[in-house]
Amino acid sequence: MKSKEFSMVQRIFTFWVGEQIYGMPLLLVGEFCPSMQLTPVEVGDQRVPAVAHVRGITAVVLDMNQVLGSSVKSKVSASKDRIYILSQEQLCEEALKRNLTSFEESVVLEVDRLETILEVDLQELHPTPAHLDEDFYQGVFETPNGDVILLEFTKLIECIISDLKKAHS
Amino acid sequence: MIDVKNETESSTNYRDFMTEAHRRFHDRIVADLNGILPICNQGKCTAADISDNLTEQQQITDLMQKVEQLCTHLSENVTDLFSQYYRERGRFCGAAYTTTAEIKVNLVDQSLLDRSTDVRWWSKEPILGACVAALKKTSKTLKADFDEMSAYLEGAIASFRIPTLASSWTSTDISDRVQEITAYFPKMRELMLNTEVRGKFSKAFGGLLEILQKGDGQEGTIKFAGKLMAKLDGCEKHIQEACRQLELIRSVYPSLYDIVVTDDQGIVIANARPERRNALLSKSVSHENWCQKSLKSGSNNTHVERAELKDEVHSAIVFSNPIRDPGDRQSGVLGSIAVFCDFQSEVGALLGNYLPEDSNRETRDGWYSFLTDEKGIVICSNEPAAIWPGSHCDLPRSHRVLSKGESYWSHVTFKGRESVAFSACSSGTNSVGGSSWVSHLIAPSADIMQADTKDSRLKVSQHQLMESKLIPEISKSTYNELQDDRQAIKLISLNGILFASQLGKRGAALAPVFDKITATGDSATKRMESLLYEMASAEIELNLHLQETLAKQAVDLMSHKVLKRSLSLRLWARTSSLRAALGIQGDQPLTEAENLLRMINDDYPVYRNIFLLNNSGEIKACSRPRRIADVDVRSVSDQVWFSKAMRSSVNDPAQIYEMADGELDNTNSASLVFAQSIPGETEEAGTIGVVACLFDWQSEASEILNACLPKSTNGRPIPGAVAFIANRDQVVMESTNANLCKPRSIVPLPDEHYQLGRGKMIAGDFEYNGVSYIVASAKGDGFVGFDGLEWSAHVLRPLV
Repeated sequence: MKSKEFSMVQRIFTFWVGEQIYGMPLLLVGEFCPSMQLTPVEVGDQRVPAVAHVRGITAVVLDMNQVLGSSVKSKVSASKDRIYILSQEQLCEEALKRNLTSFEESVVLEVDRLETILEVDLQELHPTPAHLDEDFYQGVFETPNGDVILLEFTKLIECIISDLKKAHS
Repeated sequence: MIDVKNETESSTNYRDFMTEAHRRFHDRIVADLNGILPICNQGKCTAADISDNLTEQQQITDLMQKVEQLCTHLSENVTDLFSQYYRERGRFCGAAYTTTAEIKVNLVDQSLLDRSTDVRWWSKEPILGACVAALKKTSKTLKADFDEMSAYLEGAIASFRIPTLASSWTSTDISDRVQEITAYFPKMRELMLNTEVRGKFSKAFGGLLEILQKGDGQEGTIKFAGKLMAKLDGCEKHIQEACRQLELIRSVYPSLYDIVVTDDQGIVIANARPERRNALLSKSVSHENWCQKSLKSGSNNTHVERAELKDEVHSAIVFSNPIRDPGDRQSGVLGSIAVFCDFQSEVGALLGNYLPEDSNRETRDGWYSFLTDEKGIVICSNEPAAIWPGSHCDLPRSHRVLSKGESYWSHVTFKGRESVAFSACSSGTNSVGGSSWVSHLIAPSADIMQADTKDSRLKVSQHQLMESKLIPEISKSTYNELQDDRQAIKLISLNGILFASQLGKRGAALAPVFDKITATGDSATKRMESLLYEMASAEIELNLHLQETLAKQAVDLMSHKVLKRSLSLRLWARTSSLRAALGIQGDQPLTEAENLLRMINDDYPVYRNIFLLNNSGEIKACSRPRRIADVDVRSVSDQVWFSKAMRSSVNDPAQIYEMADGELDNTNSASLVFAQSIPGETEEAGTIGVVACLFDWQSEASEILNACLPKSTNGRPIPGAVAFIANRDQVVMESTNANLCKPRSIVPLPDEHYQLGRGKMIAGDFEYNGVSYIVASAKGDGFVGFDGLEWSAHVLRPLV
């Protein structure tokens, strides 16, 4: 069997938000954090409830329930998992080799529950359903635990920044 | 409130009670976790292979060490989990089964109190008082009479030595016959009391009198002899009447072995069992403790003690009471009445209740229930062949010697078997302070500590189950800790895989190590979770089972009380003064009947009123006339219970019906009415009326329901738990929480909880007023021949 194109197979970390599983490239992650010191902030946007201090860096925390518009309370656990996403500058060599891009600053994602790490062939990605019309929905892939919606991180951040700018102007 | 204590936990090795399945489970999880340790070592070695960078190597080594620590922690946790489970199960069973032991001893105490009241009432029976008084009076003069009779007979001997015309001038020697007669005189007691002795005496005396009648000048002797015999006959008549009365009482209460009446010297003058009479009457029992206690008693309280009946194998309890002059109750003691109760047959069945049965419907092997007295001597047991009444109880002192209301449970070896013993001393809340007896329930350890593995009857999610109040807090915290450990292993593994990914091709060797750690950690924690769930389900099942038992106990206790109360009516219905009041015209008999009813009601305050009704249903007399003054009831002829009682025989059980509020009194409270037909003097006379009483069962029911509320492991009632009794129309008759289950309302339990067959139990979940409850229900199946009232008892406790 012919081996698949290197760049098309990616390791994805998956997580629950509400009753949906989402995924993002693993190499964007700096650390899956069990606990983290958070400082609540008021920026007028519920998607950004706090900032976190990780490895001496202050990072914006994104509440993924707010970001992804989930109205469903997590059925799994009241406690949240947090994922430290590296800035573009912090990305490792391997990530750059795979043409992954990140935001210019580090960010912490607050999710309902981390699920697992999967290897995904991006060629097998299905288009997102029509009602998911945001640009940051990259596609859907199937797993035994259900469909996973792959997110494009930079577009997701751009969307939030754009909204924030609109709000401030 | 009962204070539950148990042996120190450190002295119990709970591993001994682990089921084989749990052992296997434990070993598999520990093996799984131990299997991670070599993987971690492999990870540490791989770190050195894939990177020369010391920081990178240290990062991998740190991750591996964290995994090792977590595995060790999990391994300890799993061992603790089993200990916690078995310890909690022991505590829970301790609280539950000591409640059963407590209910049994308090029920026995209540029986003792009821019987004591009966005996006190029987001691006031005019026939018995008259008998004792008459015999006392006769015995006072009998010695002088015999002396005088002796003098007369001496005269007769001399007289017959003188030849007369009547004797054809021959002399007759009657000295042998006189000697035969006078030989009886010192046996005054036997002559008065022993039918056989008196019969022989009468025959011999009759023969002598025949001879005397042929002699001259013997009129005085014959007249005095007639007076003497009349006195003895008078005694016999009193004794026969007393014995008949005692036989009547015994016919109504079949568990009574015998009833004995003594005079003030402790001589038996009457008894209830004809076959023992010749041997017993005239016998002295003054040395018996019960006799001394009653004869010296300054009060009318009944003395109760365990009795040795050498001629029988029964475990007997004797209730004794002084008998005073019927005309002057404040006078000294004339005699005593002693009621010997065959306690084994009366209480043995009760002790057998609520013990699990095998497929042959026999009590499961190794389960025992018995009572001991203050000296640790067995009073009665559910299995006399194994635990003999009168024998010494084979339990440690910590079980035998308990103070009032105290309970204790511990692991013991009983009859060569590892068992758990649950003991409870009576709470002594009744008016005589209780018996101080201790009720013991013995169960094989395996039955108590090993869970029933069948699926829970509650259909709740794992999360709901783990949030339930029924699950011990320690299990919940273990569950939460387990979740944390599981998450921690997962995060370490994810970070490990991330780290390996960041290393690119170099990290490829490390990825399988973390995959393996994730898989093993996940599998071990999932196993532990499922074990916790299984344990929680077993806890719930145990709760349901015990709650069913509590409901059954409540409805059985109610039947027991109702039956016990109704028995008295059979005796009252044969009381001569009540019959006279219905049969004889005039006010005097009615006044006497009313006095009698009042006296009965004073002794039995649980009755709101006692009525004497003629055959037209008119109220001829009652014990509390003021209570019917406002309701203006003169006749009850339209009442079903009256019609049924009129059609029944005095030997039939009393008719028992629910009465609407205040129908027959001004208390505005629901009552039960007991009605018993009163037979005429002769069979042809048929039923001449009815004696009926209103039973204040609400206060009794309240006490029963409170005793049957579920309790926590420290013996305190569970907050939010409620118990209620419903009648056949599902209407709440009495409840421990009138706000939640209001009397006269219907609690919307699932249909199957009301549509139970007789004697059946059921448990399940139920949501009421926004609260989830587990609810257990039981339908009564009567009690010793009494069909019961088709009532059901329901016990609810909050689930979350």
